[in-house]
Amino acid sequence: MSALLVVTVSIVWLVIVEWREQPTYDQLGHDGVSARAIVAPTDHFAGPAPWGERLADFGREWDLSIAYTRDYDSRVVRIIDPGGRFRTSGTTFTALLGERGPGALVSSAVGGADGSVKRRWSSLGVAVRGHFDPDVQFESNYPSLVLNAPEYPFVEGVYLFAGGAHLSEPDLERDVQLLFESNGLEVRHYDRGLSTTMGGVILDVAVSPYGVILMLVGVLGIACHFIVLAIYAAIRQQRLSSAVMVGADYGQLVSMATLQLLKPTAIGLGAGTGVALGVITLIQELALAAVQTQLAGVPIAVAVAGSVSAALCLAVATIQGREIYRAVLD
Amino acid sequence: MRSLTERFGADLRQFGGWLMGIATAVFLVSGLATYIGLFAMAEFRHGTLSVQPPREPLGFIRAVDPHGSIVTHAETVEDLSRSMLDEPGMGVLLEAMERDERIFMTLPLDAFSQSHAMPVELRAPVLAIVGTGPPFLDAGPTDSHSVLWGSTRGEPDDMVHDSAVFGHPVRQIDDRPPGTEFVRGSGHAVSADQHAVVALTPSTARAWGIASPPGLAEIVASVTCYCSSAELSLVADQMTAAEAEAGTGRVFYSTDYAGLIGPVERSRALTEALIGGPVIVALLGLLGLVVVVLQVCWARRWEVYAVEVRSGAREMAIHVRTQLLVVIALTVPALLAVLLVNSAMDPDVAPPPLSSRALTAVGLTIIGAHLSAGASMVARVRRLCRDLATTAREGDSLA
Repeated sequence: MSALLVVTVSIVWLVIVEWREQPTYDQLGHDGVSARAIVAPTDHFAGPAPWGERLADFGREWDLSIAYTRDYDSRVVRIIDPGGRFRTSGTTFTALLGERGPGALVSSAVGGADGSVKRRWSSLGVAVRGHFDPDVQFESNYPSLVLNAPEYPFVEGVYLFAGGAHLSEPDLERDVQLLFESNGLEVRHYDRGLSTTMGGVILDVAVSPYGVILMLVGVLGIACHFIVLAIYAAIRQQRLSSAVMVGADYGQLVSMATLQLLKPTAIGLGAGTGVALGVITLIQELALAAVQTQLAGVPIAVAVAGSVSAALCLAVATIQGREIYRAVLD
Repeated sequence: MRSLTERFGADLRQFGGWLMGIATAVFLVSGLATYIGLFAMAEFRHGTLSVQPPREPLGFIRAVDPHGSIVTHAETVEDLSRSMLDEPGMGVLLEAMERDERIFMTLPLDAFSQSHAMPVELRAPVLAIVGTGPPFLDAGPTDSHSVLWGSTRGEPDDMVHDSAVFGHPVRQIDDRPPGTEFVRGSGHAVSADQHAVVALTPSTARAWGIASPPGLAEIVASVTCYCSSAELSLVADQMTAAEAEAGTGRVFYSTDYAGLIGPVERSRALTEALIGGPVIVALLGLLGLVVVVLQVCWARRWEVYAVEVRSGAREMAIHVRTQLLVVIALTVPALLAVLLVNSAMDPDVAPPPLSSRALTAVGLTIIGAHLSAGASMVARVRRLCRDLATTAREGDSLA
């Protein structure tokens, strides 16, 4: 049972570290807090106007990086990111784009030497400056084209604001709404991005249906563990009864009972550690988290499983010791 | 001498409480695990199929539409009266599909029905595959008839039945879905084993027509080519040129598999698989509990068995009685729970119930669990009978 506990905790750790990594990959490699706004034109929308410079000023004022797409299917993403928060394969898009005016990067997955895409943006005065490997997403899609061109209209679509502490300020949402309204647009939906911190993800998991199932499985598992230990102890109680008959006191009895239970528990912890390491070896290529992060879950799992198992062993041994002692003395 | 039934009845009377408790726990946990497992399996299957790198090069098309938006659609009267397949770029694409059978698109059949005066609402999803002969299908459509795998029986609309769809003749190849795997335009691999599939030629598709929605970008995103992205980019360039001539400003480009499926999808497939882990662990824990409970039963009953063996009971009879205890505690409640939950699932709503093959696999797993739990009882009965025989022989020799 302790082996199963080690494996379960290791699996839950792997799920949590992957859920922590996924939002980072989904917001163009930004690993901090973010906010997201879905914006639509108002009734008095006068048509697209180039107000990108004002948006860039807003970003500077609040220390925010901004990513925008009008249409998921196009996979064209525009960024205003002087701070270099958006990155791919460890390099910022800003560094790849350089600082020579409007430029674009084409995904290496786009076929035919960029063909139509390159011609299209070249004809609009945007120089295609190179390629990037598609390993980060924006709104669950790998971008095909990333460009920094504030002089083109920012209109309806989805905006991601990536930044630091300012995102938690209540004034920001109001200022975002005012900014869009002053350009004939309205914010239809505004939300904070998913957690990218360990504590935030654990809290999210705890209140999710998966968290409830995990807690149910946890309670069942601990109850199961207790019953198995109790039965195991009951089967091997003859030796302890004999020990009391030859003069063992209550303390000695409990420590004998505990040691008797700890032996299979230790074997289980060892076996569970082996299985957990085997699972990590098998899946490490599929995971986003670094191997060290994945492996960090094993000692945590051993510590948790070891503590729970030891506490259960002690509880069972205490109950068993008391019963045997009373029975023999009676 | 008492019969086997009477002796087994005595076993049950002694362990009734234990057996009832453990059988209830097995039933509840197996039912819960089956329910969660059906969801996890559907997600996992979708995920793992999707993250397997394709054996052959694949190309996909995407569109940059100046009017495309996630927020608003240009749904004017003109848009609804005009088929999206008549747009200049789509015309080029359908011609390329006529020439090259490696290019195909997959859409729900009711996407085509929107061009008719009365939209057809299908009770069960039917997949339409447009192409001259996609390599993963055994039979290809012609302009004179489309082909059907599975059945549309039960659909209330008379525009869709097994011999004709939207007035176009259909040849039914099989009344079961083709069960073949292929890669959709989203890059996800799917298995056409749940719902009916209609294959039709590009010219039939054009005749049926598609009015928006779905939008043009969405239709284009349903295209797959079992060819390289570079090869498909020639078609995309021609589509862009046709749209430029019409002054729409739409741009089409091709992308390969890595542009659609990558590390994030692999991670999601992994977490979906791992989510089922604690449930499997819980089942293993339960199996452990069954083994320990059986050990207790044995500890309380072995002396009775010993007396019976000494009185002439056959070893096989003891084996049967102990294995029947495992059947009552583990095998029957687990099988019942799986079958009950599976039969309660609606085949037309995700996740689907287990297929007969999957049910067989689950059945074999439960039998495996029975064998692993029952093996210790077999060993104990054998040891008991051997020890008693040895003791009897020693007694005889002493006498």
